[in-house]
Amino acid sequence: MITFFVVAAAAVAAGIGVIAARNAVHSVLWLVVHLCSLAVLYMTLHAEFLGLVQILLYAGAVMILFLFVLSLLSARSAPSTAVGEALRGQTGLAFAAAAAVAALVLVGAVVGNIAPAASSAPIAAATSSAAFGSVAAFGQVLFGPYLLPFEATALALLTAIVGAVALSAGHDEAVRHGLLAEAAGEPADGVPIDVSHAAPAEPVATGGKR
Amino acid sequence: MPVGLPFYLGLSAVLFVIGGLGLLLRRDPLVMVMAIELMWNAANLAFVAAARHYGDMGGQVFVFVVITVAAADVAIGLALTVLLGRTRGTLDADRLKWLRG
Repeated sequence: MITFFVVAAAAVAAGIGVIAARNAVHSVLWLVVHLCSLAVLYMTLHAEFLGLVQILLYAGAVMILFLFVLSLLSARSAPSTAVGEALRGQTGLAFAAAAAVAALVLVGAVVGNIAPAASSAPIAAATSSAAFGSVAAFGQVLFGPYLLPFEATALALLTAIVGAVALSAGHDEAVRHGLLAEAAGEPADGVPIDVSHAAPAEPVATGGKR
Repeated sequence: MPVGLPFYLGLSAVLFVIGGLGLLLRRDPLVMVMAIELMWNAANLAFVAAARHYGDMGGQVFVFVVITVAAADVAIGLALTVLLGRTRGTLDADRLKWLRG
């Protein structure tokens, strides 16, 4: 009980830190804190394997990827990543949407609490078995009834690899052939890709788009 | 004493809202990808809590799949971000609008 509230507070605080930090590196570090606290929650929920995967894969690999990209980009364009103010009215709309989602969840929670069997039922009986959440049980489920989704993730990862390589390698090819300007300031000849830093306020036909 | 399912679902909803706010309010594409990560993880927490509540390992397997897909998502998103940073020199999502019709 105490663990849950302490770790939940840490997760929420770290989540706010992710989106409120001015420096993107600080955002990454807050995200690491967030992911580790979620891993603790997973472990309290008898999902030890998932907690370890979370730490290894998310807080380890993915965050290193973020930091690499950050160091790669900040060498070129540091100042434009400041947070600044969003579009006019976007802040209010965002908070309104957040309040709407929160109200929806609140209504759902109240309704769920009124419904007798749903939430007042204790933790299910199957969790009493010590094998719940162990690697062996996880593997038996993963390679048993969920074998097809598992194979589908392999396909998804392959697609991601091909996409990432194609994006970066395709960029190098384009630069070599002069199709893309290396920096935003110098326009490429031939291809009319317009950077349009100071785009005029097109008054027509963009109805509703902000 | 274990905490019931509604607490975990409430926490998950709070984290999801935080992620959504970050996605809407920030203009740095990198931070936007991170906000999407927050939303993935909020969903994962709900899955894990439900798996524990109902005693079904399927929820955990689904979290595993979601983590994999999120990793792929991060790979593509970061490749796009790097591409934008290298070709455009700007990482302001409000300026990345030459694709709109």
